[in-house]
Amino acid sequence: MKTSGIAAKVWLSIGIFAAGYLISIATGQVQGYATERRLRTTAETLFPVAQRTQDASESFLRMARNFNDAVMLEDESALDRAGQEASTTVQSLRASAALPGIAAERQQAVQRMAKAMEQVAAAGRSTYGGMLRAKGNMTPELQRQSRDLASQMEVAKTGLQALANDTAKDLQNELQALERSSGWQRGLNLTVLALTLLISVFFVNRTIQRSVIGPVARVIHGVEVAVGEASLASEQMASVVLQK
Amino acid sequence: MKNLLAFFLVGVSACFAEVVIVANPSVKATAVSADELKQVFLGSKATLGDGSAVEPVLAQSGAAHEAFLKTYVGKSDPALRNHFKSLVFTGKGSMPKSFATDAEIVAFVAKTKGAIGYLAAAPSAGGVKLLTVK
Repeated sequence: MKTSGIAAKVWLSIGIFAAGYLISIATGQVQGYATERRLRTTAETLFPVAQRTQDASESFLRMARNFNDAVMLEDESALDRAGQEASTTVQSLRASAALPGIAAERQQAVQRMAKAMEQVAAAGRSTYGGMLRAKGNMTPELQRQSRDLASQMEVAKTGLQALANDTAKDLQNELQALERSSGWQRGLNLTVLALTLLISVFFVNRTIQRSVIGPVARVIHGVEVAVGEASLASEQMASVVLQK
Repeated sequence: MKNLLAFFLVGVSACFAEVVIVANPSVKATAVSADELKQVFLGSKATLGDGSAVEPVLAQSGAAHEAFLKTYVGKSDPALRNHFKSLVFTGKGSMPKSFATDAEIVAFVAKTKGAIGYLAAAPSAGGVKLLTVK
């Protein structure tokens, strides 16, 4: 009965340690899956969105440069190149909006931007084409259109840069959140392991104290008492013999 | 050879051409500095030192035109046109009006408040005031 009690306590301690280890492994696995899922979203959505909006921003700047060349150098081919860059800008934005997993709010912003880019590019082709053909003799109406378009281009450029910055920020925030989550996960695993180790050590120590050291100490004490009593009895017997 | 000679003659005439600065009578100033003229004709300034709003008027060609650009603006005709095209493209300005003859310039300056232009010689017709360059 006593032996089975000790064994149970030892197994209990080992069981607590094993359970703690399993909990630690299980939470690690769950968090690992969550991290993998977030990394997949980052790789398949956030990173491509950031990259494509950045591409769109760069091709927009090239489009503006080509429009400028078309007007200043009276180069018709620059107008075609500007048109191609405008298509690249719109395609990059549409590809971003079509990515699975993109936030609805961000998707709407990208779609709005793609539409605005299309309008600016069409107006640019018409107005700057007119300026190119006018060869310096621009009508007041054409000059007014150019002024309006210049402000539209500025708004579009600012909006596109802001969108590229926002998507880059989304990516950065997600990566920072993943880093924090990974740190928290490591901390949790270590804490669970340390706690189970402490509880196991406590139980093992208690079992050893109560079931091994305690009984042995009691036996030793009993033996010492018996030895003392035997010695006393022996002395008493010796004194009785001497009196006789 | 003929082209070369013509180019040489235009160059020489530009060097010796006189330029008269004229303005609409609404412009209060009687004299302008060379620097003010340059800024007004580059579109970077729309008022003179006395606060008068001015609108530059260009000639389309000619010796006086070449001489004016060379002396006061420091740009050739194509460079000036590109400069204004750049201002229009960026929405920061507009092309100044330009006329083929001095008579057209005088007529426009006379009827347009704040207009300022240049001629090869002092106008015979009235309606404009002469400005001296300080």
